[in-house]
Amino acid sequence: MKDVLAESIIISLIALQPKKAEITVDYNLITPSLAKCVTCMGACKGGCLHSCKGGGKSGKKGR
Amino acid sequence: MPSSELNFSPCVCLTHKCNLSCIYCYQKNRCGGKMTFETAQKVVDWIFTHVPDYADKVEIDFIGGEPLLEFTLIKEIFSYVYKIRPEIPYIFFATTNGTLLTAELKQWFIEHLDCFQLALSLDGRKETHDKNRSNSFDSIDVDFFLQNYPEQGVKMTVSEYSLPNLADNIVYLHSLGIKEIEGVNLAEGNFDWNKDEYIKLLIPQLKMLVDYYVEHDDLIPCMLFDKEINICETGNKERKKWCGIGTGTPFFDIDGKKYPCSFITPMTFTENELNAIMQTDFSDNEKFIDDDCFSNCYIYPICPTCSGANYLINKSFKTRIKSKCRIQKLVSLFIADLQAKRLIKNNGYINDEKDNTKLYYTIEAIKKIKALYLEEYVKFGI
Repeated sequence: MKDVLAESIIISLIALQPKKAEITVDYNLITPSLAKCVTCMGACKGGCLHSCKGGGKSGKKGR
Repeated sequence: MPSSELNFSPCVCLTHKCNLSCIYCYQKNRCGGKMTFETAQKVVDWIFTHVPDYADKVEIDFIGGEPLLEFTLIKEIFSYVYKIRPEIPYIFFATTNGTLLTAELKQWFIEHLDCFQLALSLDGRKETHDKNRSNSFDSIDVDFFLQNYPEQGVKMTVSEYSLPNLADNIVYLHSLGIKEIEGVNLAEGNFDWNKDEYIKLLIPQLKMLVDYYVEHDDLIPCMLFDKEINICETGNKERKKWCGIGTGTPFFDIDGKKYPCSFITPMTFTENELNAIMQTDFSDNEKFIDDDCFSNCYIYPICPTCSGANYLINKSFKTRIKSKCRIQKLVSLFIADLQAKRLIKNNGYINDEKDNTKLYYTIEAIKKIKALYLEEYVKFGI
């Protein structure tokens, strides 16, 4: 594989990058997904530190 | 599939005892006591009468020590909750070292799969796991967890002993069929993650992991890599706590006393420290935000922190443990590298979706992370 963040990778990425004018959503209004963060109510913004106790991924409905 | 519900997830400590002595355990003051059933009843009653409005479900997390040492109490609590018939859905959860699962325990847990979830702490191959976790690898029936809890990730903690074989250990866990590897947390406490030797050890490991996750792009990367770097480009960073300390994650010790989270307990802090800590207004987010990091660090939104560990080391919830900064910046370079290579491989698709907004800002973040941090690690052979 290529080196870490090699210039050739960046060039390939720029070719894939949409133009800013194509962005229709104001990114400042986007709230990061909270779906993972069941313990901390999303405070970790996807970083999911509720792994500090290993929990929260069961997906089981319970009783 | 991961739940998108919001759980109220109180921790109930059943025992301070543990049959292992893991090298990174931060519970230095365990007293060896255990919770009585009478105390457990009071705790359960409190939990179901204090469910926050936001919660769709209650997840009671049994914790220790090693919670399965108190299997009889677990069954008693389980029966009690069933008897009081809470109006809100509930589930039990326990992270275990996996060494105490006799045939009797396995049978009971299999009979209660619908509402009792077990998660295993597993640090990788036998050599690493045994070094970190008291030679316990051979006592664990990993297949039991894979067969009965296939969607549950394992909890992996990284110590200095894990670093030389980190990639191999993570690949090994995936090879067992484990879909998600939770944690991969850098051990909290008095490890000096700032050392040059750790940076040198980690770089080849992270390179191997990037190659592996690019090749296996159907896998969810382990938690070390599973970060949405596009969030770094979001203009309106919220001043929020990173975790639910003091609000969403109450911890009940063996005597029934409530603490802010599973880190801030008498097992880790002295009575005087706890008295000071309990004066904190945990609803005030400002008490938990490191202003220097918030204002000056580009990767702040994806940099995990443990408030309890910050207090343990810095006597402050606000001040983060800065010895992790170098490693977090290094990791962010490899997160960016992985996302860049996956984007190129998949022609700009992210998780089978083409989201131009997310794509634009992900690529912006990749470019910025490279510009900000790569140079610092060139001398280490990145």
